Amino acid sequence: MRRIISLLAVLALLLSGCGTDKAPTVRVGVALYDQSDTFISTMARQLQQLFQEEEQGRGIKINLSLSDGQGSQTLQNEQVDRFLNQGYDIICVNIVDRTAAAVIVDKAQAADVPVIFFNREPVEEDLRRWEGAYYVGAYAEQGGRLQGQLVLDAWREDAAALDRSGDGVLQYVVLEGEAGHQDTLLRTEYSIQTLTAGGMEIEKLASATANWQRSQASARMNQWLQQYGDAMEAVFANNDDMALGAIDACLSAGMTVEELPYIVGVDATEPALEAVRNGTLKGTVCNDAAGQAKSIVALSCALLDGEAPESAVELEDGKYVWLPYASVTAENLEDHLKTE
Amino acid sequence: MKRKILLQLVVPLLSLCMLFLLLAVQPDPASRSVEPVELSVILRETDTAALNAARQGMEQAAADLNAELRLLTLTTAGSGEEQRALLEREVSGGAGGVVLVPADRETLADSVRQAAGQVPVVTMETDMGESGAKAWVGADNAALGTALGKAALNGVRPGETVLLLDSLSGDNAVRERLEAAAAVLKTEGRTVEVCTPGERPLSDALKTALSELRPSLVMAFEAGALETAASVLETVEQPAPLLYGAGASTAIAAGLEQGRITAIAAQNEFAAGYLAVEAAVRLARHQTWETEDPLEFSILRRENMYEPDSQKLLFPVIR
Amino acid sequence: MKDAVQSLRRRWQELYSRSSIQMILSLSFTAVAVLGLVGLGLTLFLRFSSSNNTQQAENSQRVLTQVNWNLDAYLRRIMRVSDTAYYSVIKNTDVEDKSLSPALDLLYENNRDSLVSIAVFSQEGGLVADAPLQKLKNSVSPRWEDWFTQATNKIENLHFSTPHVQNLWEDPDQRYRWVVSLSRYVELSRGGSMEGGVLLVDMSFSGIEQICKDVDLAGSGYLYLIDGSGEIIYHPRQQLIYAGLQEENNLAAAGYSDGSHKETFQGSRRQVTVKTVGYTGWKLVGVVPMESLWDNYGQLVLFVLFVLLFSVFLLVFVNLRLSEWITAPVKKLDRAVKDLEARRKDIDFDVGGPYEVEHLSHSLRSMASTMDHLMEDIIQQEEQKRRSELDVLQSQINPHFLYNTLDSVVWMTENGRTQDAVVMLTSLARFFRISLSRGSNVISIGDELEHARHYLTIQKMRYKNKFSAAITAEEGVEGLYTIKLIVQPVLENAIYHGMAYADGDGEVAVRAFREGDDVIIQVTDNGPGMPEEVVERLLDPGGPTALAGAKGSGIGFRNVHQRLRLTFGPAYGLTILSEPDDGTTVRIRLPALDEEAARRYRKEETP
Repeated sequence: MRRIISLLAVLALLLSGCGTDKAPTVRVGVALYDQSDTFISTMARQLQQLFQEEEQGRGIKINLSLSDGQGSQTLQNEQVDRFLNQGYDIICVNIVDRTAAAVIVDKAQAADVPVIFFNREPVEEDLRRWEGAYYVGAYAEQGGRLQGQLVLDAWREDAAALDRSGDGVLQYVVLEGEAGHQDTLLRTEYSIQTLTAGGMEIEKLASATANWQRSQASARMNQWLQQYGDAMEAVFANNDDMALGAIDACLSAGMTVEELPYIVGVDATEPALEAVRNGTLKGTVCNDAAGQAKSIVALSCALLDGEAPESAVELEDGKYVWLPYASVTAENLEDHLKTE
Repeated sequence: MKRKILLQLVVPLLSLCMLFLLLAVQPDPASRSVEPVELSVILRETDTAALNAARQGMEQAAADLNAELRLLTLTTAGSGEEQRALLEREVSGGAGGVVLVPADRETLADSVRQAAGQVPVVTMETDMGESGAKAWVGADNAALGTALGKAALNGVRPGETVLLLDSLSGDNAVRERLEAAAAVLKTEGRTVEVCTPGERPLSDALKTALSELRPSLVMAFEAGALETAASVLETVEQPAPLLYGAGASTAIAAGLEQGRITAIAAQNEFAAGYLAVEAAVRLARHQTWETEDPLEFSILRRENMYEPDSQKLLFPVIR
Repeated sequence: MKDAVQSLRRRWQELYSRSSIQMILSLSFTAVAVLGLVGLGLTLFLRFSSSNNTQQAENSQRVLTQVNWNLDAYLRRIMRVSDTAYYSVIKNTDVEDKSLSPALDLLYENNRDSLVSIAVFSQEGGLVADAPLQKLKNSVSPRWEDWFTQATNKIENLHFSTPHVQNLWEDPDQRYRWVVSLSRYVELSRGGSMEGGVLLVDMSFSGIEQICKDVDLAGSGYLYLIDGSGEIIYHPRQQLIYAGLQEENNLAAAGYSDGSHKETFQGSRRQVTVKTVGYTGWKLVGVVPMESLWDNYGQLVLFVLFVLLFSVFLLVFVNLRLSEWITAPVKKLDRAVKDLEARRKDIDFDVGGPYEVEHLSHSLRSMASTMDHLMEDIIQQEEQKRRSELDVLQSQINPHFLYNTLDSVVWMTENGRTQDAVVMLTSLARFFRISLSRGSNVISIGDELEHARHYLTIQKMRYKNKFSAAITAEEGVEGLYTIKLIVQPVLENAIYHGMAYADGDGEVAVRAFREGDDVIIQVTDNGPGMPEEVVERLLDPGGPTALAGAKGSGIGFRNVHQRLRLTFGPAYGLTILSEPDDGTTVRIRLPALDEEAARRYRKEETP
């Protein structure tokens, strides 16, 4: 019985499929881990614009659907399910829990819909489960190195400006991102490593997670300010939101811009660039949101057209699109804004 | 004899089998599902973030009524020309319906009329029924402006200046609200100045106007302008003028809570988005849609923003 | 009533008597079977639908119990967090010496999926510790919040709030989260002394949502959660309700007791199952619209109807065939019997069919053959009887006539009229020769007329020429054939009744002529004629044999008539036209037989 019904359904589908001759419509589903994340919302906006441009350029319809996972992997899985059920042609996932990618890859494989992960890198083994799974992101390692380099350069240029205690040792704190996120681990690890490799003497006063959030970072910094006061000479934040949170805390504690510790972030979001401009944020590392968005769009289009993805983007291992970081300081801010 | 048996047995049996198939197949819900309606939503902003609540409403309606949304943002906020181009492109591209947040009646009148001939066009905020739009979802703009003007009377003494932000040039909801508010304020003896940004960014125009006119109260008539005004006023040296405005978003709620905004006239954005999409889908399916009464709005201040009803209005339940 | 039953019975009997066996068989089979089927189907369906309702209610109940269990476990977990925070952290820590934060952080991180924040406030509403680390907004004073006052008013209890937007924490991202707050009064030790405080655990919606969301209620059924006062905590369409786009009967549901209820809301009837969640006083409400119950029914009804239709069709078909198989031989038999009635030959009694019918057909066949034999016997006997009768009739003529004639001859001879006696004897000899005709009973009309002529000659002599006679025959008629001795009795009658009293002027005319395919021999006399009743009596076979006072008696006359009819059929015989005083005309009608045709009768006569 069921078979007959499904047969009829298929027939009906075929018939209805033959009847339409509108402009081809492709559906792209983008699942974001949390839209309140500044970097992610920037990327979402860029994706939206790029797809809209692509649509005009190619004369096809691209229906882009954004979903906000609100930091819940269960919710995100549901959203991905919905995309797959509605017959989306391509799915971009900014996964909430990077250890949970296997489920999504399997689902996508079952539905034969290519899935592009971005910004939050799934575990390599999960990504290897299917050749239709890709990752677009930046080398967290490089981000960390560049962040470290910023501080190292500043130290080499004018160590006294940083070393307020004058003991020749840089006292620093680290505001870490979400536990378990690859960027948290790698950025922290390599920024510090760069300093030590550069021959600096450093001392970690404290480190704590602020879950990428400005408010939590601000509260944490507030606590540290009471605890360490001026002893903090540098603040390494795993992203700009947290760096801005630290600045918020310092400013609301009554510090002037000059009195601020040397705070560096990662991502180069708009508010962060604004902070670089007014000198509160000493430097940030550009996590190329626009570049990532472009790569995602290019990769998506290649997959939709059935072309080899290699022709559209530089692909490592047939899976990874890596985008470089670039450091941004007050000196090269204008250049950076121009290239944007 | 053989033929007779064939006729007696096989033919009715076959017809019964057909009947059975029909019976068995028909009630299957999957086969009854209707084609999704493809709706193009043409916004007035460059970014959907500001419209979060309305967007959630739209998406909810789309999910409920089996529609597919195409959210289209502009490259320049509030550009009627761009909306017109988008509208024409979407209609020729085979959209099943259009939800439009018009930036300017004049610029859009012709293309809306043209589009309305082919697909249902539903407008939000600005009523374009005269140009053939089938439905309109929004608050009564004049009433909203009047209410806002009355609310503002407490904040400004007679003779003092009120600066009204005409953030969207053109004939639209903002204009209607502004005129209604201006009328109230003028009759009550307040000086009314209008700040029209024109080509400049609103923030720059506002800064200039602030320094030139020294208003004691600033009034914005849409969410985007209100947010911008709030952030501009924060940078202004004390005493900053009071800020009144229309619109509801989390940023505005935060402004209200922190005292940067004194009062807002807010409608339920979620409901607006939901109703707009529902109207468009129903019209696209040739069902009836009674244009409902204008949406209700309420004047919210810091004191009453956390009352249960205001909470429900300001903050969509996060799902 | 009785009349109606009677008339129904009568009508039924009429129908019954008019219908064929096949009709009756198939109709009654089908009627009984369909009645049985419908009865069975109806019983099953009623039984099913009544049990379905209760089952549905039970199902909702079961689902709700399951959800309730899950929700209870979930709430207990949150309460356990609160307990742990209080008994293991707050009670053991002097807030003066040591921060509560690390322990609270640990708790928070452990339950991150379901919690938004944990915070401890002092009696004055000041923040003592919180996790995750956040700053209190300047604009809020926790002391006046509902959860705070509730906790301090009833210090022994845990308090669950209704959903609200948590506005305590400063958030540069301007996020406003809907939470359900769990608050309790705690004792804080500060510098050795105890003071009051409030522990606030904010749980996110997602946990509750996950428990309530994917419940499996019938049809478009769903489940929502309200607090004791009917305020909605979770509803699948919560945002729509908040936005005023949809309504729910939550306030009424708050008044329901646990169990199943029926309610009508916004024009639709629905089955509502309520289950109270322990401790919190919250109520789980499962809603199943009646329509969705009937949705399934509709399909079922259709299915049952279809099966019924199908079986009825099959039954009708099978019954038709079955009754046809039974009745076809009976019908054939019936036809055979009808043939039998119509006296057809070679009737086919071989009809097949079941044993009884077969047996019946055998019996009928033997009966038919017996009947045939009997019939033949009867015919033969009849024939013989008729022939002997004829013989008797024929022989009846002669002795009487012979006696009279011989008497006349004697009388003539005595009187010396030898010449006349010779003529008479010659005619008599001729007369008898033709009468015998060598045993054949069919002779030519010429001979028959000759025979009549001799007879007339004899009678004229006997009656001393009281009358004259003429015999004429149309040309060709003399060559045709007839059974013999038909004219003489008529003449005898004419002479005895007409001429005996004539006075020399009697006339007897015999005329033979053709009329179509028939031959008419007409004997006319001018005697006194007969009244009508005599005429009638003459041809009546059952009539009295003798006329009073009359010689002859008319036996010969009637004999002729009967013979003609027996031989040629009822269309032939005598016709008498007579009126008193106007003579008598007797018409003998017989078929015009040529020699060929005459042979048949001759043969038949041959014994």
